[in-house]
Amino acid sequence: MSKKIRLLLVVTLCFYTACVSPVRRNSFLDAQYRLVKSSKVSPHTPSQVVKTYQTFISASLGSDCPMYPSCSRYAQLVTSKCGHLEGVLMSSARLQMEFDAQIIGFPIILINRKILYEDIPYCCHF
Amino acid sequence: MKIFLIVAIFNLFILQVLSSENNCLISKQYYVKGVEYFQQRSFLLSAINLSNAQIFACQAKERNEISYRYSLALKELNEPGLAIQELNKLVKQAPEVERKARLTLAVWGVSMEGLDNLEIKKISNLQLMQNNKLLNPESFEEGEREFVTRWNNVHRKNAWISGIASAIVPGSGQVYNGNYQSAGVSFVLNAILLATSINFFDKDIKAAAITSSLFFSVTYLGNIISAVRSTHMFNATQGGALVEEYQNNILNR
Repeated sequence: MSKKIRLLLVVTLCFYTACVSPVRRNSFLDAQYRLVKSSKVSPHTPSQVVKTYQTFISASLGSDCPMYPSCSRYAQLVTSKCGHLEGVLMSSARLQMEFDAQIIGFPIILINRKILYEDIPYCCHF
Repeated sequence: MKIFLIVAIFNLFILQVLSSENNCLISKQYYVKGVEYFQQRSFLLSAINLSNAQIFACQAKERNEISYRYSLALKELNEPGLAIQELNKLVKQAPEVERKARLTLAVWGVSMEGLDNLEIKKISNLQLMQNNKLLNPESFEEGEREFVTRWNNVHRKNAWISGIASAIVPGSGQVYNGNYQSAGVSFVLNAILLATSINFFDKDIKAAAITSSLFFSVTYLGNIISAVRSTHMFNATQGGALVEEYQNNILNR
C-alpha cells in the first residue's frame, strides 16, 4: 500500500514539475521603470476602498504578496487605468492566479533576496 | 612670437587628436558595458550606457550600430514609441544598419516597407508563431522543416477549454492548466460564496443575499479570466524560446 502511495506521489510530482514553465529573470530597476511608465496613464479616479485598505489594514498587517506590484497596488493601478469594472475583475483574477505564479510563467525579479513575480498591467485586455 | 604661435597650434592639434581618441575609447567602453547589461536583461542600465556611447562615438558607423542596440533596449523597457522613432531615423539615415532596422520594424509589426518576398514570408510565419498558431511545413525550406516540427510539437493548451471548464466548475480550468493551488483556492472561494448567497436567499435576507451574490459573481468571472490568462501565458512561455530563436534567425543576430 505504502509503495503504491509513494509511486502515486512520484507520478504527481513528475507531472507537476513537467508543467513548470521556464523561468525568465528580469531586473528590478527595469520593473520599477515599467511600473512608473505604466502608472502614468490614469484617466479614471483610483479606488478609495483600496486606498483605505492600504493605509489601515495593509500598513498594520504588512504585505506578503508574492507578486510585483502587490495585489492592492495592482488593483489601484488597473482601476485608475481601465475603470472600476475591469479593475475589480482583473484584480479578482490576479488574486486567484498568484498561488501558481511560477508555473504560469511570470518573470521573476529579486528584491532583497526575495523572489517576486512581475505582473505589470500594460493594457486593459483580459 | 612665430615659434610660440606654431607651438601653441601644434599643442592644440595634439590635444584635439588625443581627446578624440579618448572619446572613441570611452564610447567603446560604454558600448561593451551596454551590451553586457543587455545580455543580462538589465535594459535600463543598458539603455543608459548605450546612450552615453552614442554621445562619445567617433564614427557614424559605430554611432548607428549603437543606436540600433539602444532602440532594442528601449523596446524592452516598454517604450515602443521612442524605439520606433529611433529605428525610423536609422532607416532614413544609416545605410549600414538600414536592412536590420527595416526587419526589426517588421518583426515588431510596424511596417513591412522595403522587404523582399522571402523576408515578408518569414515575418508572417513569425507572426503566426507569436499568435501561437501551427505552422505549415510546406511554406518552409527543406532545412527548416525540423524547426517546424519542433514548433508544432510544442506542448500547448486550449484557452477555450480552460475558460469553459472554469465556467462549469470553478477551478477546473486551472486544473487543466496544471495550476493546482489556484484551482483549490478558486473552487473553495466560489463554493463558499455561492453557498452563502443561496443560504441568504433561502432565509429571505435580501440585502445580504444580493451582496454575497455580487461578491460571488466577481470571483466567478475572475476565476474564468484567470484560467484563460494563465493558459495564454503558459502557451507563450512554452514556445517562447523557439519564437526567440526564429526571430534571431530573421535578424541574423
